Amino acid sequence: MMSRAFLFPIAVIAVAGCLAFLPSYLDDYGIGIMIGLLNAVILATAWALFSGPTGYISLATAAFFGVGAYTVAVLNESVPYPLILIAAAIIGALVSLSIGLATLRLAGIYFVIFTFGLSEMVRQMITWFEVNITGTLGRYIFLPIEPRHIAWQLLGLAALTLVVGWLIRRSKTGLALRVIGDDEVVAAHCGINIARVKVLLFGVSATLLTLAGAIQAPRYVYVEPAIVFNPTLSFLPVIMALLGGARSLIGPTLGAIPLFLLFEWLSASYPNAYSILLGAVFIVIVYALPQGVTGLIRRWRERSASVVQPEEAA
Amino acid sequence: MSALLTVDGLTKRFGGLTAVDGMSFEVSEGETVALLGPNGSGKTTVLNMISGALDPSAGSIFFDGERIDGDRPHDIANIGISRTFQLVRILPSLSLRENVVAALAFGRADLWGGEAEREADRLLGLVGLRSGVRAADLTYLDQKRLEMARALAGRPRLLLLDEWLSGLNPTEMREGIALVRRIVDGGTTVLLVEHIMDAVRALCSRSVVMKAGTLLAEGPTADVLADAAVIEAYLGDVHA
Repeated sequence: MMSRAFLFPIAVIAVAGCLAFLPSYLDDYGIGIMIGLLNAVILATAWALFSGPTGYISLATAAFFGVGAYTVAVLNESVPYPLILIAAAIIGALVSLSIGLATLRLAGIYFVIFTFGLSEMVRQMITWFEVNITGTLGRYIFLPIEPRHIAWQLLGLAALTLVVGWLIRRSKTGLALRVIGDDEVVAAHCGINIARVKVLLFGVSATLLTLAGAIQAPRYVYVEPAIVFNPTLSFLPVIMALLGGARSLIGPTLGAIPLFLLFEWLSASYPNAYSILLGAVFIVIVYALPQGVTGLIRRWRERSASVVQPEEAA
Repeated sequence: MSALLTVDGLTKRFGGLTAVDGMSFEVSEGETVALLGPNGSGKTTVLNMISGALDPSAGSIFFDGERIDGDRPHDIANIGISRTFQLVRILPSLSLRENVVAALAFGRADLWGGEAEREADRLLGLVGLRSGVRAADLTYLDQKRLEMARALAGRPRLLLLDEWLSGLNPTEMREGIALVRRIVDGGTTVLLVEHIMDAVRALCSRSVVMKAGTLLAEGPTADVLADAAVIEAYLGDVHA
């Protein structure tokens, strides 16, 4: 019983441990693909920590990713690297706290649009600040960090994200999120402090997204708002998590891996039509798989189980 | 008997409409009180203000001597006021057990893990449900039972029932009345909104009647239901 309960984190750490050998053997292209895949898994899984159970579709991923990358860009010449990552996590948590508090009373499409607008606002504010106050727009990052170091860090962050997700699902807070996703009025009358749970989980999710941006910043070498606040970064995790099943812990990973490879191929083969194809894939997924792949598997299981169910109920 | 709930001058305005206008009444510890009145007289609005779903425009609500009007719903749940909803609200993507555990984990009971699961199963058994089924597959009556189990999981000192007995057939009604009576016998105070007078007569020693947001009559149920003004309010509603 005990061993089964801990199967998931043990499996995650074991898989991450095996994958940790890869960067030493892969060439630059292979490491690039590995970084892209891990980034997709982290963004989709971290996004789904909050948005999956609650159904609040956040389009602020680019804001957190960008804040992480920009923290590294600003601090890379003056502060030791591990401290930069800690600073990025703290700044990400603070930004998410303010966004979380600002969006508390919003639901549905209003929440979606508001988070998207906030994401753009953060980008414009940083652009304005850089142009008018510091007098620069782009910044250079010169850190002695190689791609394989980034791959290892991302591997660690991916494992951390999945284990954090597993811990949340086992906790009271995990149940609270699902109750909120079903019916906020009932949640409040059950004694759940909705505001606290929502802001807390939004913050956990955002901190992980910020770290993903911070870890990958050295790869850009040159950072400017248009690069690290790219709105596509907000949309891709949503599509990936929806494909795999945003309410399941492993679902976003199952969606992220094939979609990253598909988008990689599309952007290389059809660079001009890439955005249109991206949109088409989005529409197909939302119409054909509203519950994602994991939801589809669950429905199949239930259908085969429902044959025996009437007998059991009698 | 001391007053567990004291509602004083309670008023709720929605724009130009005054749904509840200066309502005052008390519910004593251990009592079962009916809140009656024609459709649209403001009964559910009163329950919504007591449970914290709505903020009153004026007036006050005291629970066990503490002023609670304007408090958030989760705080009110945690001092021991549970409710059911007029239009039944279950959590469809959760299992029956999880529906009840939700209230056990975050309410006054503060239970989690195996302890919460055992208590959830006990409460499901109390209302006549079994834990294996999915909430979304329940019949209407079973959804009402589930709501009751969830409300009881909040360990209420005051239970607010909003037409919980409506829509039941005569057999189910007898079971429902017996269940409410067991809950009352267990020491829970009940304030219920109900249109079914047989149930009100069977359960409630005292009744409070509303009309157009104001207090129309209050007293022992038999006297109140014989009151000419109350009969007129109801018949007027029936013929409308």
